[in-house]
Amino acid sequence: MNDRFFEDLAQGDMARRPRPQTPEEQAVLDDLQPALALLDRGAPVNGINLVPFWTQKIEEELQQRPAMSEATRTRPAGNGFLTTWRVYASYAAVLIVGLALGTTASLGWDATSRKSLAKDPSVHAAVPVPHYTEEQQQWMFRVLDRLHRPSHATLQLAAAELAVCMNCHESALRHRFATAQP
Amino acid sequence: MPDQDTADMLRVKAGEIDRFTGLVARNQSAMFRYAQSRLSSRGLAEDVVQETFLAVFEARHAFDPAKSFRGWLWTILVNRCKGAWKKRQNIAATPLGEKESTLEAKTNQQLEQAEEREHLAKQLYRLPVEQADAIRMRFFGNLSFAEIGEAMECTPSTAKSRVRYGLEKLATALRVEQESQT
Repeated sequence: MNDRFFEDLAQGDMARRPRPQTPEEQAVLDDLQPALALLDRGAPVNGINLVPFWTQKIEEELQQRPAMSEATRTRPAGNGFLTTWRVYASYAAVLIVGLALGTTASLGWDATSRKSLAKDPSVHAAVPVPHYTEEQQQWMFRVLDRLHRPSHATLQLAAAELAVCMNCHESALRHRFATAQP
Repeated sequence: MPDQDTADMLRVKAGEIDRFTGLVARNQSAMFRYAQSRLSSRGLAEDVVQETFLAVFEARHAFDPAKSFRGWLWTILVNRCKGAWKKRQNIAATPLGEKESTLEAKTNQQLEQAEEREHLAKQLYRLPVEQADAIRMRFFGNLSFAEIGEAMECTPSTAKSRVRYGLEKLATALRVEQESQT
């Protein structure tokens, strides 16, 4: 098979695909034509625009920079807005972590002692038991720490990261219900 | 000389974080098309792409200038798609294909396109995972074979072979399908 011809042929942009110049190249095209045609017709459409989110997030990050350096020079004055955000953030953190720990406990795992609470060995065997390394624990602490410096962007970021924890625990819970003996 | 994305990421790492919006704008569509095809879900694909950008932004200080930005970005995306796919399989038996797009289709043309996407998705799921993934990266992500190799942790020639064998198998399967229908 002509290597260069194949490289140019096997690409998503139809307009840039070469025309076959030799019988060998024609044979390559004929061989792959059904696959290429379906890839052209069935390609996923675009439909995402994350630019507005990132524009806002970057603006907030940039605004925080002078504010943070200012805070190191002077004692922070009372700020009702920030205080309110901090309270909401604390509630959100407690709620998410509480749900995560509650889900874990319902799976039969004691997060503090790392000992299984499940009595039924058939259920326990089917339940994926989460183990957190020192590095993962540090990561979770960083996520929680971020909630103490709240802004719209940092809250979204922290929520997205904590959602990863929740997804894992929820899928483990579903797995448990699916595999538990009646 | 580094490419535009790598050069911008180096500037983000150095503190010019406003450059990150350009990286998002240039890469989001290709990433979304790949993730949508890999996960058969627009919603999940959006989440995975956003999580990938958040992870990259958070880890910007760890960016290795010896590697290309796109290779790094896509390695993270591919791993996140694998994780999301596993979670999805754990939660429920997922029907293959893009059912969502069929449900969303309003006109006959949209319905036909949605059916083509479902057809392609089903055919890709029948291929070995590495071959289907390499095809998705090449055709929907517009990656070079070297970039596919970086993301899949293999050599560019292995990446090319995966695309080639995958296309040949896909074309053969489509021919067999057509013959059985006539």
